[in-house]
Amino acid sequence: MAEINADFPQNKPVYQRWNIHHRLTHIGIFTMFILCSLTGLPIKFHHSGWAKGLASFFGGGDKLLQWHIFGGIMLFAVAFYHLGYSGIFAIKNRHNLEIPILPWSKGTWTALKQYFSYQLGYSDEHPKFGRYQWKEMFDYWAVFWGMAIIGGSGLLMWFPEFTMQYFPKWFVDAYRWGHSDEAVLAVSFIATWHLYNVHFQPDFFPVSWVWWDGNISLENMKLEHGLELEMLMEKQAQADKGTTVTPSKGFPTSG
Amino acid sequence: MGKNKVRLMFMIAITITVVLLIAPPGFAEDLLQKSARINEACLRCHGAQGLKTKFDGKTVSLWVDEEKYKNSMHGTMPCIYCHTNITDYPHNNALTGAALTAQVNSECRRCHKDMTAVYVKGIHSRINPEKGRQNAYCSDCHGIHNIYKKEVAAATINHNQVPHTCAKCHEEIMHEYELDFHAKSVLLGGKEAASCVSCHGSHDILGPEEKTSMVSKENTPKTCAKCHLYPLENFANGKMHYSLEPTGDGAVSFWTLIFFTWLTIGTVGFVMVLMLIELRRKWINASKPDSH
Repeated sequence: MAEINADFPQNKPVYQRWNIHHRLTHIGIFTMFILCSLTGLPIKFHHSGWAKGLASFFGGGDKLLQWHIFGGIMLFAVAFYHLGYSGIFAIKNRHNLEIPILPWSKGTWTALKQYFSYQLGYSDEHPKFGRYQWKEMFDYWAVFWGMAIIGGSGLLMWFPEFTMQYFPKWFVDAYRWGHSDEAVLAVSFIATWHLYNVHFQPDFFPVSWVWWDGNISLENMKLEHGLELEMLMEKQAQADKGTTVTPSKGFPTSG
Repeated sequence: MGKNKVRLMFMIAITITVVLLIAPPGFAEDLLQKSARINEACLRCHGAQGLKTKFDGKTVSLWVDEEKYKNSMHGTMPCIYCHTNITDYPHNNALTGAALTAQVNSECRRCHKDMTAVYVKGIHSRINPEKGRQNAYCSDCHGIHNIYKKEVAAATINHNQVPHTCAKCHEEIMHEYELDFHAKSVLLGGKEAASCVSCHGSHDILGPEEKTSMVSKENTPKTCAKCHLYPLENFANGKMHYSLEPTGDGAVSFWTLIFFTWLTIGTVGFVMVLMLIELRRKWINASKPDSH
């Protein structure tokens, strides 16, 4: 029986890559990112016909801005939610804390070198990534940069009375350019790089379902996070032998 | 006094009252009809789209859009109310070009006395030595046969149309204004952000160098506080309208724009190249039998 059913996807081993907080954060970020893009790009390109169409879809110039500000507030809310549960996780695990998203975490540099020599054809050894590939680190930390540039200037624009009290006009103008230019950068980056990595590249086409159920298959785990898999196997083996390492439930990974 | 006399006086009083009650609406009705009759005569020729004449070597349309005119504020008025010198056909006294504009605009004050008094205070009423006429006539902002209340979307003085109307003369400032968020909101159909007249005023408009101007150094904070919470002194500092040039008031914005443009080109270009490299590698792998 088991052998007959072994090929069905539901009977293949999966690893939980994202827990419910990760998934909620991602859904919150991408829905509000899309809302902010749809309501923000018409403001930057107000001359074009599609800008006027989108603006009237959202109920005219004033309502458009209200939706945009709503999207911005929600993005801040999601960001604080993420920082909040990450903080709680860090405090809970303060004696044994690993933060694999940090660029200097174990294996990042080796995997980066492996990645380039593999992709450029100098080596046939597939890169062994840790919990996060350099791409994922880049995407993750880019959101912090984006929140600082876009969110910061957004707040300054939302409260002009406060802003004009402390900042000169030229600074506010320039920061406003930063807001929309960084937004165009973010939209074009997501539309090319992120959509390629999780949708269009052949291994995942049409979509990598990690964002929905949080699970990643063993094959993809080997391919995308080889080093993490090895480390998990090692931990599990030690736990099975009854050594002092505390096994985690199933194969959960870090926060 | 005899009984008959009293009765006679009573009858006379009733007759006068009845006449007074009925007569004025009757006269008014007659004025409207008269106006319609006159306009019908004018529009018999001027209602035709093709009606045109040659003037100064240019072809000028003499067409009046009947639909627009009748829906406009002045739609029930006879044409000759403003075109006072048209008394006969053919139009022997007809004026052309600048003289026509000057003549028609000199008629506005006959009804709009109150606005004339305000208008003469503003810079638009002063004589422009280059043009040899006022800086802006009534018709320059309000239109001619298409004068509507500002609540009407098609009105030249509608909140969302004002920037376009002002830009007919102030094109450069319009380009600078368009960089501003106020402009973007107004041009996308917003009603809350400031159009030109929100800050500069309308009939008694004055340049920033004059003390009583709404946009003078002294008055700017108060003007901003029409919408913004309180009159910050800092509202008057810095240039409101700037242009994106490597030097001057917009310099920092200009270089910010350049920086982000190249950052975008660099980042997206880099990942595009990486995508090609990755896909090439996958192509090579796919042609090998034993690899993923």
